[in-house]
Amino acid sequence: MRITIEMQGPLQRYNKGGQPRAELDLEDGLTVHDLLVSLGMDMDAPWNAALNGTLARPSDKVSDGALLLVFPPIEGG
Amino acid sequence: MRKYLHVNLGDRAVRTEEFQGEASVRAGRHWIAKTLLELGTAAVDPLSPENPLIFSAGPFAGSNFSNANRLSVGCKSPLTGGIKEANSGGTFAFALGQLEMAGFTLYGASREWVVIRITKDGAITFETAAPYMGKGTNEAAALLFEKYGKKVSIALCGPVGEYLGLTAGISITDTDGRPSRLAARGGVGAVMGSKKVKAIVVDLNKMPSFHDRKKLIGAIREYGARIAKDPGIDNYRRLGTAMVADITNRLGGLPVRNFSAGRMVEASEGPFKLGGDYIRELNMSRGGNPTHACMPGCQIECSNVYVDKDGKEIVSPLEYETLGLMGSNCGLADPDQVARVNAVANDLGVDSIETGAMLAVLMEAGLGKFGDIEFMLKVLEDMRLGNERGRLYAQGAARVGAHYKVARVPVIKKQSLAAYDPRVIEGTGISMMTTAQGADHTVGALLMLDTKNMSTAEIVAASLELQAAWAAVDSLGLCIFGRAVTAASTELLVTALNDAHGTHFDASFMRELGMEALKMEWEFNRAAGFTEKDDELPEFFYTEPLAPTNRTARHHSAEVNRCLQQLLA
Repeated sequence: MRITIEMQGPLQRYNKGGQPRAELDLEDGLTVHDLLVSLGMDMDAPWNAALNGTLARPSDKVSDGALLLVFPPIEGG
Repeated sequence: MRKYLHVNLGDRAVRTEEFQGEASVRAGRHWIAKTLLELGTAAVDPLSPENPLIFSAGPFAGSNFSNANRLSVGCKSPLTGGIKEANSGGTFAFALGQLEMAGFTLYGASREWVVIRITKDGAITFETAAPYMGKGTNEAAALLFEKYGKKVSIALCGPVGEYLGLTAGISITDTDGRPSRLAARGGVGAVMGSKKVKAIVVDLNKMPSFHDRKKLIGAIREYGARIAKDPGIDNYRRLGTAMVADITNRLGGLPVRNFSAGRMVEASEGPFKLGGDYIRELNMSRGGNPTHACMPGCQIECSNVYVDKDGKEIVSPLEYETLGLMGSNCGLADPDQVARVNAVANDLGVDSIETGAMLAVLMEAGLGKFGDIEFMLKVLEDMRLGNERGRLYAQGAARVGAHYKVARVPVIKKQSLAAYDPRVIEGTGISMMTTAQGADHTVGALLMLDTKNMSTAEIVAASLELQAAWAAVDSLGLCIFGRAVTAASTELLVTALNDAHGTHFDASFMRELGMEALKMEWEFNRAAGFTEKDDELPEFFYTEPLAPTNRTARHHSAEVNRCLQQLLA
């Protein structure tokens, strides 16, 4: 499957080429968690993800054409 | 020991109270709620001399404890009619701490416009404000620095506060002398104006005495080290609060064109220009500064200095809430444009959230078009002039919406919502409903809470937990942005408080402090006549699906309050 991944702030270093946004070709049926592990992300550092515009759980399955946004915890203000 | 001044503006009598131990610690929102309850302020007219105006610094103020020099301004709000704590960065609380002051309360009203001067030898004098009247905050601050020297901190009532506009906040000078930090929300600037206090000028001095200075310095170092290496906080340093815009846009919870849509830019359309990544790159490429501390000693440095294409400063800071309410909510898509209106709002000394919401209500009423920056600048100019139209605009979104009979006015308790659509960002929505402060996101922002499958009861529980934690932080002069570290460092903080003031608190103190503050705030509002009906969201949030998620609000006040009362029982 082909997905688009956006990684914010310091998490960008795990993305392909350290870019904020990249297209990835991956095997089908990966979960958010497995996908991030395959990128070499430090899973103990706090992170959040949104899949196609809604907050995602690590166990959510990623499908072809998805947009995954990964970002560290933030509050706003 | 700290001094607390009670200042009677009528006869200029000043009574000094000594705070020992615990009294120096229970500051900010806790002190404000307790004081206003004791004084019976819930029953007063908020623009009358009977409304006290409180300036409270936290227990670490005047030291370089990272992000521990926040200022709490308190009173009955003329905007909401309820209790108000408006919180600000800048140098004012730092200066109070350096003079070994916990704060002061202004009672009554002055006969003439005054500048209150507090010097490091402890003298407090009242000087004429004539040279500063009617001027923008930038010019007034420059004149005040010229008169009193650079080693001062200034709290300023801007031109809109002079005529008691309810969008007026109190401007506080930052570490570079800009009057661009604000105790913004709830019309506290109008209260300062009703007392004819134009400015308060406080000397900077040196680190104050503490009970065990050596141990405290150790805690300062340790807390600072934790802040420096936390990855979430590092995001604040790199991207500032603007990073939130990327998230809310993606989640579909960003206010767009008077809360009529939740996303401004689709991923396929290119970068979101109001977001943190874009703004950082653009600003840095022009020579701007993405990392800036608003308070002395703060290691989070979430502020920025935003420049134009020629490298000239437009505004500092350029923050998420303004990018939301004066930006996307008004149909602006370009950060240069938002920076421009932000700079004008700062010069007027007004709350950019309330002003942005008001502008969008005017656009909805058909007086101007969404995305028309010239219209926005004309409205702001009317506010500066204080002409008939300007004085109406200066009353904020609720009153302007009622005047023009607009159906869709995004306010709770007559205070405008912050940049989180409650149909999507439900946790923050419930915090904004239930807090006594009116629609205030800083009482408990739950941006990251995935509420899709959560019941009302579960979200209310999460909101209450966070509200208690942040009420404690707001009662200690700490910035809520240290959250990740503050929440994990309760023991370090309580030990540091005991070292600072010779107290004997244990780890349960923080939660108790926060819960007490919340309960007193709710008690004040009940005394002021609020009922659970006042917590309800405006109707359109419940009936109008929000594109692109098509969500509607699903939590009504009756159920929310039933859950809240169960938790508080």
